[in-house]
Amino acid sequence: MTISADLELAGVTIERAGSLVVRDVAIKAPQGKITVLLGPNGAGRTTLLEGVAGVIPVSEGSALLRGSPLLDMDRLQRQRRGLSFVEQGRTVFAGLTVEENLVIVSSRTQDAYLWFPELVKRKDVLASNLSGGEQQMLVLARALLCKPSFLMIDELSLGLAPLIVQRLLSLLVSLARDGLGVLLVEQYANLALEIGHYAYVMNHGSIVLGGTCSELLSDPTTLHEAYLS
Amino acid sequence: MPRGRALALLIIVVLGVTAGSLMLSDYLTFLATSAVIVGIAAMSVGLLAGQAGLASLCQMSFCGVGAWCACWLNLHLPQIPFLSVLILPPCAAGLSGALIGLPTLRLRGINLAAVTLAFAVACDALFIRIGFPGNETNTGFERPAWLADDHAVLVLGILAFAVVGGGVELLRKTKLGAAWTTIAHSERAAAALGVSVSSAKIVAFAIGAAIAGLAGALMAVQLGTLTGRNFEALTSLAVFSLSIFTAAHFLEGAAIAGLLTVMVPEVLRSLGLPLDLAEFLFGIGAVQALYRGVGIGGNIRAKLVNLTSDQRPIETRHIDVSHPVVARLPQPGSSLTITDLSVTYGQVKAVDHVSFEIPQRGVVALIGPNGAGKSTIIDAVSGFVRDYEGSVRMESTSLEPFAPDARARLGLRRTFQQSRATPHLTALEYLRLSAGRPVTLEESEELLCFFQCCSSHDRIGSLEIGLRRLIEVAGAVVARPRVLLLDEPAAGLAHQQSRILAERIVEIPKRFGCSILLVEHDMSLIQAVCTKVVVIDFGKVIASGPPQQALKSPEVIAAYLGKEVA
Amino acid sequence: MIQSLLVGLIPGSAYALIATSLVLTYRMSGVMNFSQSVVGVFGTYVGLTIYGGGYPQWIAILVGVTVGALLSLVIGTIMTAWFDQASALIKSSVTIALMLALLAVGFRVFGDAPRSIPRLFAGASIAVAGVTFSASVLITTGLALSIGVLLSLILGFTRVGAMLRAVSERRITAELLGIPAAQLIKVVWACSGGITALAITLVAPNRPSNFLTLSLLLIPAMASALFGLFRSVPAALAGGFTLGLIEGASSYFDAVGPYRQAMPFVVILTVLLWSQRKEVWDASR
Repeated sequence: MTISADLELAGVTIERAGSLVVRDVAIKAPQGKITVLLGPNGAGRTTLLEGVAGVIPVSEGSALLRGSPLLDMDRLQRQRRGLSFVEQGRTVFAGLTVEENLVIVSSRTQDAYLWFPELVKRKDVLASNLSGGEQQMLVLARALLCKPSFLMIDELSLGLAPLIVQRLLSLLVSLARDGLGVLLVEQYANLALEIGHYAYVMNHGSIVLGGTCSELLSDPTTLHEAYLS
Repeated sequence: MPRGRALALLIIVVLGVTAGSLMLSDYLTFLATSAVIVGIAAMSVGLLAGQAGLASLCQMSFCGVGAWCACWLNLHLPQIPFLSVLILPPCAAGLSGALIGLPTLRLRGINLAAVTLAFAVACDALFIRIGFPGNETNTGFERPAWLADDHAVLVLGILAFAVVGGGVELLRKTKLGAAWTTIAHSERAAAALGVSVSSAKIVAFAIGAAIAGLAGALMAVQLGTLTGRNFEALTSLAVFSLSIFTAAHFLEGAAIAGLLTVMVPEVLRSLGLPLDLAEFLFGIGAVQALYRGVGIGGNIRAKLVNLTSDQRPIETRHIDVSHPVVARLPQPGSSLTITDLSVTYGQVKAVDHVSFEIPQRGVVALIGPNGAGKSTIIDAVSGFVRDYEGSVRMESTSLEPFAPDARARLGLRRTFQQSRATPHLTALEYLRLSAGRPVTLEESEELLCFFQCCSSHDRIGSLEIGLRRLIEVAGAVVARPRVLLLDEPAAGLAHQQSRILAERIVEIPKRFGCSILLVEHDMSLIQAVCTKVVVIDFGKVIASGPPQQALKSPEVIAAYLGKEVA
Repeated sequence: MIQSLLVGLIPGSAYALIATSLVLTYRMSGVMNFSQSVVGVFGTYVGLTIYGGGYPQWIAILVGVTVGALLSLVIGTIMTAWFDQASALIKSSVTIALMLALLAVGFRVFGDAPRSIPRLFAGASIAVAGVTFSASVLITTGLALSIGVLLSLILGFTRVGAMLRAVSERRITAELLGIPAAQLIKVVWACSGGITALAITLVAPNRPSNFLTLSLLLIPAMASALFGLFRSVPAALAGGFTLGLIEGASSYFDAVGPYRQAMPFVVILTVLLWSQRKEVWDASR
């Protein structure tokens, strides 16, 4: 089966402080679908996303977004091409209010409040005073205000209560239904597999397993081994 | 380079330079003396900034203190032996350095720079206000008869430079020097190795200021009459910049700093160019050196080390790991007892009434999803988070009264999630600093072989990340701890290394007689090495017990895989 | 007494403005910029030269401010291009080296002899309740206050201000969201250079002015900036005026006057010891 790839990585290799953290990674993440990237901590998933978004340099390989090569662009150009990246650890601008966090991205902030009505009441609160869940909503809203065609998310659920994680994931599902491509790095494998379409497992810097989410869900022993190998 | 050979080389160079200096013309003698004195002043900056990472912008003020004292002694106590003019002023400067160091212990980086610069300006005002002893009566420094000739002053200066330079080089090899290097890299890492950061910093300030004071005293001897203008804040800045540019914490860097200050203006003069171009060239040179990361002295030193180091391959030796190195009788009771530990950051309860024990020579894993509070527990137990509630006891000692470095010396050692082994030290230097006792080359080789990471003389910074992490563990073990806290030791390790680490962790308790608390994500490693697992989520213990059993409990599966528990 | 307090208003204005520039560059680039005031003095002296050439004063000032801005822009570009990832210590060392280099150039071009600098607003004064307010005091203070307040308002309440704060907090995240961080940083460097040049032009007539003494205005300005720990513009403004007023008052007491230069040290030390009393450790884990 061939899928029309929106984000396509091939042979991506990333070096950090002299050691290869990501080795020869190939991933196809189609538009309108959620692609899940699983793996134990330290497997190199964050490094991979950072490389694709332009936070750190990539040593080798290629990354195509709708066919145009990303790796020669700087962060701003990649963003303008339609790539959005939600970093790990809820990177709100702590000294800015909720509204300011949004307005610096786009003056049409009302869209954000449609996605997350919870934030309306917190409009003038400093982002540092939000709860973890609200911060993650803010970060997600900020990324979506950029009107991306492809969204990469690193650890959506980190430190959040299960209920909020569900809420955020269901939003992703509906956004994907509207055509957004998503590459999601997630520590809670089962949660991610339930909502995703395709999945890759990364360990020790390489992709060790790939397939549709339902395949992986139906074969937990293989998934388990991929984690523990 | 072996110490004996280096010393011999230094003596030969000093003798050669001394002999040569006797043949110089009066003018050149004057210039050479100035160069030597600037070299000594540069070394004082090098020691503080280059080695200990303390940006002190007031070294010329300490110079001034030394010079002032020398003038005062010469004027008011002319009968005392001349040597005391070279000893007492540095002592006074050293004292003033310690006094500045004391209130600024918690200031670092730009804050320290701002304070020291302001101090330099204040000293400027003070020197100009009170003047130097002898200024009113127009009496200069009176040299004893044997120093009357300028060549003698130059020889004295060269000797002083050699003594100070040799001393700084020797200091670098001591535990104190290693401690400074580590503090410059990370104060937490230094404290975790049992180094008292405060006293090491104050000593650095005192020694740095004393060296500057000596330079000041020599200036008094050379120039005779001094004013506050010799010790302006701006000169301090210039010396600072010059020292960074030449890497003046190395002997050769300091020598170059001295030579440059006198030679560049001379060259400009002979070319008919304006003299103030020198300052400009220094500035640009310093920017360029900083851009490339190493000063001139650093380059030379790196080449010297390469020339003289014998590139032996690491011998793979078989070590008998079965018998213990540390014969410590198991104490009754638990090795580490954590009772009701809570840590609150603002409104977030990062750790919430956590209690568990580590048995004697046990290996306990602390696991949980990211952000669950594992590292905070390690920080609290090792003392880096001070205001926690609850208690931590090691054997029968309650740890609350002790600061992190004191806890480390008591036998509670930790490693960090991000590797903090000091990159500028060799493995042997690092182990010696951590051990707090003499470590023979033999012992170091054996330990490094045990962890299969490197050989004793490898510089830590030249190794890949995975090996640095192993050295950090080796550094903790060499201190013969009673409890070892390992914060994700396998992160960033290649698969093979991670397997070796697992084997070693199993052996550490028997071999070194300590117990281990291990924070780790690598489940295979945990199942291989641990006798007990404590699982936390949102700061609370949600399960504990033998690994197989605990990892299968529904709460743990929910915490890890995100299934909601009914 | 009150009269001598007023004397402190002019240096206070200058400290406040230079401190504001220091805060701006520190927040945007993490650089404690030792070359800040030299850059300003350069601008001032170029302006003086133009004025000496017979051009009107306002053109001279405008040119001076522009030169300060351009010079600062060059330094800012060097800092972001080469030393972006360097430690704060290295960054400061670089600006120290640049300061020395610029001082040398300054001596060469302008000489180090004291200059008489024309007063900007000569003549007029108002007397209220026995205290004379000269026009220059009033205008200088007013200008400094309005620039400071304007900057605070821009930073605090406009979209660009929010962007600047975002960049200073998390530069990479800001870029990932499409904010042109590099350009913004350069604009801030240019502005800070211009403001410093203006500040020094304002204070120069009231100082024993040679190139060096004017450059050393850096130190009281640093002390002022430390009031807000190099982070807050209003605090830096307040710090600058406080320091100026203390200085003015101290000239009233003969015993303290000569040690005026020591004042920043005492202030810096007190402020830092108080604000850093809980910072037991270096960077967080």
